[in-house]
Amino acid sequence: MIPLPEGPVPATADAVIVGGGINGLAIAYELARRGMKRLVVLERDYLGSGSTGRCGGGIRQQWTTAENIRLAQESVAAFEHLAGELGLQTFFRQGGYLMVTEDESHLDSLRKAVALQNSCQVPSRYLEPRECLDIVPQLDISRLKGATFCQKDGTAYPFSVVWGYAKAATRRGVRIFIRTRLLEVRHDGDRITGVLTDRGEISTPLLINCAGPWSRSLAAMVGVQLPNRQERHEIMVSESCKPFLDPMVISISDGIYFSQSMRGEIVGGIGDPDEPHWDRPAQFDTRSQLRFAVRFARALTAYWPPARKLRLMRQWAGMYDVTPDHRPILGGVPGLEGYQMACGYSGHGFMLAPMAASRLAKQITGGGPDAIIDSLSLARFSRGDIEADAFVVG
Amino acid sequence: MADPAVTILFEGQPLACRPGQSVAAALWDHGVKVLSHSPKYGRPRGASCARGHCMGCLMRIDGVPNVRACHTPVHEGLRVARQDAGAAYGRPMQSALSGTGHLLPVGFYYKWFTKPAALSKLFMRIIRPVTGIGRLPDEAAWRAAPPPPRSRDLGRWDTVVVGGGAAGMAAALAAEGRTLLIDDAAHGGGQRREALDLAAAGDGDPLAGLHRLRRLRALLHERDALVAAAPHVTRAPSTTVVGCYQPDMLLLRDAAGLSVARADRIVWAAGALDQLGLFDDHDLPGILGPRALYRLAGRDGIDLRGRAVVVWGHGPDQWLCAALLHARGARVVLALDPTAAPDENALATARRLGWQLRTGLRPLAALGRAGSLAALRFDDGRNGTRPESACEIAVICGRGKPVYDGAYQLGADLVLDPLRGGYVPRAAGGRWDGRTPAGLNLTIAGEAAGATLADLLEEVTA
Amino acid sequence: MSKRILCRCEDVTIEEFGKAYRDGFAEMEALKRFTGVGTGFCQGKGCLCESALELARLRGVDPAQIPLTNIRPPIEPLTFEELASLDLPPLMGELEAALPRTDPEVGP
Ligand SMILES: Cc1cc2nc3c(=O)[nH]c(=O)nc-3n(C[C@H](O)[C@H](O)[C@H](O)COP(=O)(O)OP(=O)(O)OC[C@H]3O[C@@H](n4cnc5c(N)ncnc54)[C@H](O)[C@@H]3O)c2cc1C
Ligand code: FES
Repeated sequence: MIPLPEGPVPATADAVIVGGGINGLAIAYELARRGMKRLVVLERDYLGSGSTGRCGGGIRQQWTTAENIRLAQESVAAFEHLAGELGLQTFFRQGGYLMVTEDESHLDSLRKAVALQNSCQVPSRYLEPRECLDIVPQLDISRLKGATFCQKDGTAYPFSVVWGYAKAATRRGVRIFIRTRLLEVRHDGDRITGVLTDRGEISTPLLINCAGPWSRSLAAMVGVQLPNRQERHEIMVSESCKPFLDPMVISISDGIYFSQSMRGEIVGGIGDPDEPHWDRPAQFDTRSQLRFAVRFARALTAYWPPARKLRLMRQWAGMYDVTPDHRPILGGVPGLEGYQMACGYSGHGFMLAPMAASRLAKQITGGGPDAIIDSLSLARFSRGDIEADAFVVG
Repeated sequence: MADPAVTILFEGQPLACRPGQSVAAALWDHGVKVLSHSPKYGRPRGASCARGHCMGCLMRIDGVPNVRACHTPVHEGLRVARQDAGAAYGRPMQSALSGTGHLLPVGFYYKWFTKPAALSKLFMRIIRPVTGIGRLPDEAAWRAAPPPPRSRDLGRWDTVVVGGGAAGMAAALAAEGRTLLIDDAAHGGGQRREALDLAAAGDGDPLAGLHRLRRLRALLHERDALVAAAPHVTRAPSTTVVGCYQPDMLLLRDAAGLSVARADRIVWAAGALDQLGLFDDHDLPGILGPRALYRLAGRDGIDLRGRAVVVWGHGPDQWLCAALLHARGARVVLALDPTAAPDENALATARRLGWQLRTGLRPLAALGRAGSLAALRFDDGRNGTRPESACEIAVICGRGKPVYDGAYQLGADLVLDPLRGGYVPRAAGGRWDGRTPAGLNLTIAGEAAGATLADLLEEVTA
Repeated sequence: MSKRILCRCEDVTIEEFGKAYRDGFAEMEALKRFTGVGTGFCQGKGCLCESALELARLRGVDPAQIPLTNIRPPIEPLTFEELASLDLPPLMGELEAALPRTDPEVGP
């Protein structure tokens, strides 16, 4: 399913996809499904070793911009069938997302968001604090001011989604090279011609940048400047207990989120306003800090007191690839033929990937223009046509 | 043994136990060896490491799930019960799984019922109740007032040494500047010190002919006295390193809770873990390693009188276990592996003390009765013969496995080397002395660096 | 039924580990997540080394070639209550100082 690389990379390919996370693998699969041949995926480490394997696996439709809602909504529909399509369980479970706030000032935007989501047929609803107790009985609602809930949101297990895409792509002839690093991109100014890897040279007319937090430095290799900023985020799992928590609970006041996995563990994290931002990928620091464990424990026990007696088992960190408007960057750039990208997911690229990949693959294989991809192109930043999504958490 | 002074409730039934014992040891003394069941196959499990690592003793204690019974001291009125791991549909489903396990594809839960979507959804709903171990804590337990926040910053040290055994004590004595010596035992001298003292006090002086162990005991006592007298060393007894954070932070836990210490130099001398090998059903309750025995027969003082105990393996730990068991009144069966090369004095000791001696054996399988160990089956190297030895406890004295987690977390570069017992410093000779990428001065020493007790004894003799 | 358990916490037998390997989970990172070895209560204390050795045997390579999977803190499970009671330690001060920050004007 995830073969170890043997020998050199092929000398030629119709497309080289950089990144063995959910985006790279989903795009490889979608391209192959639409009939493209001779596809190569390069992954410097193991599959899922970037952000994907470190993420919380949360999938929600409660967004504040129409494109994000649309992509998430289509992705949820995709996740409902993904296990069957890929031939591997994804452990997708629609336990809902409960978004809570302790700030009076958020209530207005929560209500507006629900209205927008409802107009897109997302079945979210506004809740008074005491109504949250029907969903999470032990929640401490004393400081809560309001909440929204959507039962159709949920979680999946990132690794099985990654393996599922890898397996389905391999079955359609895609060649995945793990522990293989892209070193240089060959281009003649306005056209991609090939790549150099640590397993040899590949000549190719098409390079797809799905390098997650590394995407900015990869883009820089071909002279494309991305406005992305890389942020470190920590996350943890607890010991595993019998099911007690159905939804993902997230707070837009202090950025904590937690859910219970299909293995029974609490999976959760919290953002840290004092985190430095890393600007050179070589320096990405994904070492763990005690400070995170303490901040998370304080927030978790404040929202959900039974956790006092449960235990943190393991903590780790990953990078968010954040754009100025917290929406992804999809598609190509004018003047450089053969360069495409799917990056800048700003901490929610697991949930958006299935549909982003499918739409991008359709466009690449000649399916015609796509309004959503167009609105999420890099050009939007120079057009000044940006509308930030308000609900970025973690 | 002191009179029972404390009563605990095991699944509603009152049991008398000695103060200071762990819950696991108290249950053992009342014949309760099966403390939990494994999650997938419902296999019986018991206290196996006695050091908080193996999960065999996870129980519900005072309304809190997944508490390690080996690490919890008894107190009056303590409530303890087994948990029903995985048994949402009852143990029968687990037995069925166990019986057919070899027919199931591995990771079948990844592969079955992926479509149609409705079936996949239903499958998630069916398997979810099976997942997880232990139910939420009782409301009374989590509603109890949380401990007040406290500041326990032990500050910055010139050197922190983790592990108070032979190597750790030597490092602390040699260190310059203010030095903190951390060990999880209440006494100084490392995990074998107590076992050696108990063995020395046994009927018939079991250590009399075991010269190397006598020398080890003298060495540990001597270093312990030097450490106690060294003005630059501060001891932190009964303290465990529960996490390491780069560049130089150690998270510690003692009876009062967590604290933090930082250091310019850290010596990782945390010793080794028992390695039980991979023979059939080696996870049955009653199978221990030497380090688990030192705890259970030492601090915990479990009742061993008249019990048949097989001590298999080679090396000084095997002889120490036999001597300790003898001192505690057990019936010792000494089963030597084919590489064991005991000297004449040791063999004479075994004969003198009436230990049953068997040679040239490798464990093949553990045989159980009522969920715990009843005998060990061996391979004696001859075709077709499979001798068995009836026993209630088997102590497997193999190569120790270096404790590497903290050293790794601090940034040491490690490599897997089976000849040195597991993950050890990559540098030649097994020593690691240098700066981590984050700039910490880190040394890995003793068993944590892949040395064995035999190596240490040789060094001392030389 | 008798079994040779490789990982006690997740009940993985040595045969199951081998089957997963033959199923295409050819490296430790994937094997660990697929079979569960090293992800249970003991966080690998009882099985990571043993599993890596078994993988080396299956692949017929020197054990030194099997990369060590990340051993994350903590070393022992910590209750959220005891963590919450700790005074907040600083961010990795020294590491942070050693590495440059980017433009702070783009707020989170
Ligand atoms: C702590 C945390 C929690 C998160 N929680 C959620 C969540 O709940 N829901 C959600 O939707 N999203 C979440 N995210 C965000 C999500 O993980 C990412 O948006 C998503 O995984 C991005 O996937 P990707 O495939 O684009 O990138 P990645 O998974 O990062 O993949 C990029 C890959 O490219 C490889 N690569 C880079 N450079 C090279 C090179 N030169 N040669 C070869 N290979 C290279 C990397 O090794 C990497 O594997 C979270 C992120 C973090 C860090
Ligand atoms: S964890 Fe308690 S005996 Fe191993």
